[in-house]
Amino acid sequence: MTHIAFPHLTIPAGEVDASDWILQDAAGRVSDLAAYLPDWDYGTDIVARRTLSVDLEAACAALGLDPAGTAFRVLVSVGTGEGSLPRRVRRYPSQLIKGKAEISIDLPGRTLSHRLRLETDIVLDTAGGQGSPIAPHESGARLWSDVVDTRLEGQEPRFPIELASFSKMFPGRSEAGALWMLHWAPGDPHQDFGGCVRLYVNSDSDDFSSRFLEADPLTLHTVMADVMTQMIDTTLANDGAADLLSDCEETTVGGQIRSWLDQAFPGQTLAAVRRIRETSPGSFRSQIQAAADHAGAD
Amino acid sequence: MSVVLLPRISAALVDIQVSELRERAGSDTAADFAEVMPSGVTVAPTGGSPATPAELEALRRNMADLASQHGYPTAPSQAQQAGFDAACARLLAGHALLASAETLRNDVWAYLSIILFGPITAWRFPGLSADRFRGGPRNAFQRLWLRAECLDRGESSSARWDLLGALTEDAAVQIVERPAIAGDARLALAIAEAWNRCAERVGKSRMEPVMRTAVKAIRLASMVRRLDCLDDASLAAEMDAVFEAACREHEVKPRRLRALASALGVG
Repeated sequence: MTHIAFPHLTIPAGEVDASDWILQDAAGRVSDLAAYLPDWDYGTDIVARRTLSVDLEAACAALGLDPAGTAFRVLVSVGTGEGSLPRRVRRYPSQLIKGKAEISIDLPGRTLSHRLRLETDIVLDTAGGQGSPIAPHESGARLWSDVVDTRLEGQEPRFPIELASFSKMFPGRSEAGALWMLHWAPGDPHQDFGGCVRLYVNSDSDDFSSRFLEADPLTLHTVMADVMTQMIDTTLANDGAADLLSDCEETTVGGQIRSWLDQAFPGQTLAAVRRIRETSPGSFRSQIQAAADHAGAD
Repeated sequence: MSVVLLPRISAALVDIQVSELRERAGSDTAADFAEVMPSGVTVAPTGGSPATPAELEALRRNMADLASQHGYPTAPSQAQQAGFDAACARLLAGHALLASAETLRNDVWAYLSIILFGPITAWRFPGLSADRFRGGPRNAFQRLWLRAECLDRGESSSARWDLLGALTEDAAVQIVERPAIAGDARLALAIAEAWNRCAERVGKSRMEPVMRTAVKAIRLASMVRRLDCLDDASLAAEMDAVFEAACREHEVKPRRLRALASALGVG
């Protein structure tokens, strides 16, 4: 809840005790929800469980609400599907939280793809007397939330990457000799980044692909520098770049490019960056290259 | 019930196939139908049973029949395109092969668009733009399936699919191409219904700026408030209020008021 300027008070993190999510498969095997779920496929049905405890008195004090007549509700939504934001989100029935809530969600394998994104919200159900002008008052006002995003199948990195044989993918074409290729279509920065950008790594080059898969820092740095330079440079070549990027959501191609620009050229206007690009192309690329050290391909 | 695993094709391979399709443009489109599992096409190794060639051929036949009813292979008129889109969305939404989370994969839709339905994609979008073949919200068929997901009033509704034909292209795009909205079918449907009510009052031609403002406001509102806590009537009322405010912002008046203002020389 750090990137949103809420118009109302929210529950401080310390007043909510949320356990980690625990997964149980049909065979009864139990595991923590990790960064990715190995050996998952459509045949794997799982149950996700967690507990939430809220100190209602302390939470109401922090929200500027009278505990008498105030009620909170806990909601869980399950997102799945390709892209920076899930393609499909299922809302599960909410429950009133009276100090402690036990959450249990059935997740049939056939309904999931690519990723499992579990969002837990504590929201206002009813407000008691308000002691603060910025106390929450609308039903559904978000008071606390956390999100866990897990990759399924163990094969979908956050930066979409695919290992592929370029000799088979590009038979008889010059791309067959490349070490990597960024696949993206410039022109629409509003497209979802995760859904339309993909980095192909040439598995024909054992040496390079091994280094990449082992997350060799120099290799990742070099590739990320190329990815960032390519996308930033192509976008800035457009005279309307400022307009193109201004309205893009965080998870879009434009949002990612804007974030990279902030990292590479902190505090500089787009016009200033475009000037550097035109007058000092070497410096322009070096600054992006330096920023790529921190960007990482995950 | 076992999941039917569908073939997949990578975006890079799609681009190559599109170039080849461009080179063959103008040839006999019926002859352009390729085999259903050419090299480069893959299927998930586990988790279900791969769709059989016969099942894929049947799906292709269904789609070809539908396209034929709307003019295929002759260049379609706008009305034929719209008719095909609405019927195609219904076909995709109800097809047994497309009932699992395989439909959430871009590479599956890429396969359908470039391999299984390639000539139909080229017929529907004659410019052979690659984004109609790659997976994503602009894919020729994925966009229609997403619309059906968002605009389905439910099996019990006698006008179940009417919104597919009611929304303008811009309105549908505003819903389907914003994952924060399209991912939540109930919210997406509530927005579409509110758009429809608003368009009936002010006219579809004036809805584009209104929709953009409304969608932006709804997206911001949903960041600070879980709108799904609202019951159907309250959600509809909230959506109507947002569209009302958007109309005011763009000075869009109901049609009768506009006519009156115009008659009085003040509109």
